[in-house]
Amino acid sequence: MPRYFIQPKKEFHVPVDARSMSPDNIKGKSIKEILELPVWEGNSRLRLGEIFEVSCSPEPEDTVELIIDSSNKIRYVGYKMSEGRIIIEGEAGCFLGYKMKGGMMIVRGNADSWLGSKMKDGIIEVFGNAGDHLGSKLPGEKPGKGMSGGEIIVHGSAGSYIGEGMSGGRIIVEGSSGIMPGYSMIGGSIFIRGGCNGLPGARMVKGKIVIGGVVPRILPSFHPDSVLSKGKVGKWAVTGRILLLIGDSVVGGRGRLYLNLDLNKYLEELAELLEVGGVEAW
Amino acid sequence: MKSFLIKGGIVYDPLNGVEGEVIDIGLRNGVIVDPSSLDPRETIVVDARGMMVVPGGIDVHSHIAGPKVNTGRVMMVEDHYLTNIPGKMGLRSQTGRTVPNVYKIGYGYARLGYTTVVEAASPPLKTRHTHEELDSIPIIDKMTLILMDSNWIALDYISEGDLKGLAGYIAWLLHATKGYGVKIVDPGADLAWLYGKGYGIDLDTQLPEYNLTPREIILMLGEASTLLNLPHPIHVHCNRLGYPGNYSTTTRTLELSSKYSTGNKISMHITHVQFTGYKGSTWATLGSGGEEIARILRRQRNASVDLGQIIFGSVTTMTADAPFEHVLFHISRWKWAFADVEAETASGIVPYRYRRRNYVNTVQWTIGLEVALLTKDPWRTFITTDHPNAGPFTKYPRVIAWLMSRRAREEEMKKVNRRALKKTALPAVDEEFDFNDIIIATRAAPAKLLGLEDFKGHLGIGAQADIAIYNIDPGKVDPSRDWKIVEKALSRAEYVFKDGRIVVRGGRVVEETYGSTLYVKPEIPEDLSKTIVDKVREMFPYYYSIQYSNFIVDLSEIRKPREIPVKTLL
Repeated sequence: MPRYFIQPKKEFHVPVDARSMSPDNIKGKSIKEILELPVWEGNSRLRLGEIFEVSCSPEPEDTVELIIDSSNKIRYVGYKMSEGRIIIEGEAGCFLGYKMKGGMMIVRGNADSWLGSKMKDGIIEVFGNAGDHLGSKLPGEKPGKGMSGGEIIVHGSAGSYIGEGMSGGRIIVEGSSGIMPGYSMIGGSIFIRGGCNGLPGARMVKGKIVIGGVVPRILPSFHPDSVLSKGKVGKWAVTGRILLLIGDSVVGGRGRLYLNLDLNKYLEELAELLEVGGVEAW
Repeated sequence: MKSFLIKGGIVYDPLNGVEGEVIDIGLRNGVIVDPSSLDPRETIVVDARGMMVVPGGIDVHSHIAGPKVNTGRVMMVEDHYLTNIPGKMGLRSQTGRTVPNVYKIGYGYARLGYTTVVEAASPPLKTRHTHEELDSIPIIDKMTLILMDSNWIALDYISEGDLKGLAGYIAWLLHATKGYGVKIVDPGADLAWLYGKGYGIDLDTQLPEYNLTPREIILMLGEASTLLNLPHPIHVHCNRLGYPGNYSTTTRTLELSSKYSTGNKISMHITHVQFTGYKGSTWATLGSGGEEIARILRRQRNASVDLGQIIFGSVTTMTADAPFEHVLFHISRWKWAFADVEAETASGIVPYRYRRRNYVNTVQWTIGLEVALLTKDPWRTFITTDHPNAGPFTKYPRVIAWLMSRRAREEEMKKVNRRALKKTALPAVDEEFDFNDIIIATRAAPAKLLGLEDFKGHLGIGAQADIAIYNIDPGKVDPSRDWKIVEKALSRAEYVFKDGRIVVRGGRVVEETYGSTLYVKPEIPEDLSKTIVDKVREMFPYYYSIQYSNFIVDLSEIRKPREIPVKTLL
């Protein structure tokens, strides 16, 4: 199957809703049919061919691959995609991989907010930074309506509210994150190698959050469980003295929060409540 | 203004005794006139051959405006993601699902052929907000009922047994808020709620602080509103709403209606009777009390009910019965908003979802239909869904289909909880409403209940030109078999006239007009009025955090006020 190159004809000044731009939609269509797909630029409905140039390389591939040029105004790329591969050569807009069901997505630059919101399966890899609400639910929805499966890997940093209301899957951030990662999550796991801006795991019911760096403030509704030597999510791990906290007791939660004791000295008084080197409860 | 001639339509007009006759109707200057008096050169002829011509619908109980509706909109953000309809052709944009925005409410009612809607509960202090929102609702005529059951000043009068003073205070409150009638929500519960009580208060429970029971509150307010000769009787949301076994409270409340009634006039309206018709002692043994309520209702000729029929799906419940909403919040375990209005009332908002497979929800679904079908008196049972508590108003045609067709009910019964159906009488009920019954229950009877039968709810000469024309021939369609056709036709009116202008054509809103806000003005003796104002002015600094002069809603704040004068018996 071929590889498609999609390039904007001009610089966009208003958001472009490109939810038709997914391998499922493009698979088996000729270039002429692809150019007829609907896109929205601002409030006007256009054909894809009017604002994008599409070319196709005959090179045989095992899957459909879309290569899209950098533009942070193009939204909803890979909406409900279930197979294939999308590569964005630079900046990506909001709602990338929204409700994604499978396949793979690679962003070479930074991604905007709502990356992988409500995704069910598949892999998203970002080489730059990601915005807020990574893999989250929409506001007002019930906890658990967020990301329910798959994997998001961000090699840079991420914004606030990552994994809000997530119920499954895995979010890996190699850098640091903003406030409230894992807000109202009921499953899944979040790994942050760097620090977080505070209040991790508010209203979490279940799931796992591992933060390797500095956390200036935690919620009082978490209680200490044990001191471990390692906190890990899959093959990503932080070592050192790791404090395991259980919470959030405000909602009767049993979520697990792993924090680095070496970097967060104020947590020592919580750790002193425990026998040093406590049993691994989980 | 243009005049219209509606030609060849099949007219249903129960208040004038017309049932399915072909009659021409003329409209001029917003009122219905004799067709022969129209000038043919200035008249537009609307061809209504093979269509049903009926008065514009009247909804007696719906929550369309006010602070709690607005809070509901703010709370239900996820309703707005995929429901946006951009405005075009001079119309405004529409959004929302369980709690739509004002424009969607106005256009939605117009598309159904409804032209008058009653906002069912407004706290006196916040009625200024209610009027602001009512002003923004296009097309329909509207009015608002005022909450009085936990009002401290009213309770002072009730506990003193001062009936004349209470009547005077009601008159002052209706004048101050430009309201239309007295609403009683779970009498006394919001007062008890302030003391941490209020759960499941029954008719004879002693209320804290005041030496009163809910029974006395209902009786005194009922007597006072009879004394004031208000066009709409007291509008009662019964005690113990939403608790298993509450049907007995409802029947006992119904029996109160005959204690102060005069003549044949309806003296009490029990609202959303479905929520107060549960048998059994726990949620697990819940049963339907529809049969008992229907039996008592047949005997109590001075009372009427509206159904509050459940529609399966998502809803946002909002009521001034705050203690019950607190219970519901613990059942649904999601979002909750609560407000206490100083010295007056309280309210709660909780989103909820009615599921077909759920035992309790299925029992709830059968109760409304049972009451309507077993009473078989469309003059006293009105079709509502207590929008947005039991379902959205846009589903009224579905409720009508269930009432008109046994097959439609059987179709639904295949999908619901079987165990629950065994505990109810609905599967054995064969009754079916015909078109005339439906027109009575949605047009003629509500107009009579609201005391507007002079100019609304009928098509006689001199009536307000609010007319709905549905593309359905009642002579050719058998609603029992073709209920789907009936539902479809009633969901989208072919033409709707509001004040003599075409607002809906072919199921689409074509013109945006604004209806009037109706309010009552009871005329009370000068000296009584003076004593009431003196007393209220004296109590105001003790009970309220705002000034007396800021409380009164001025007529200039309402877009199109329309006064309904009332001759009191004082």
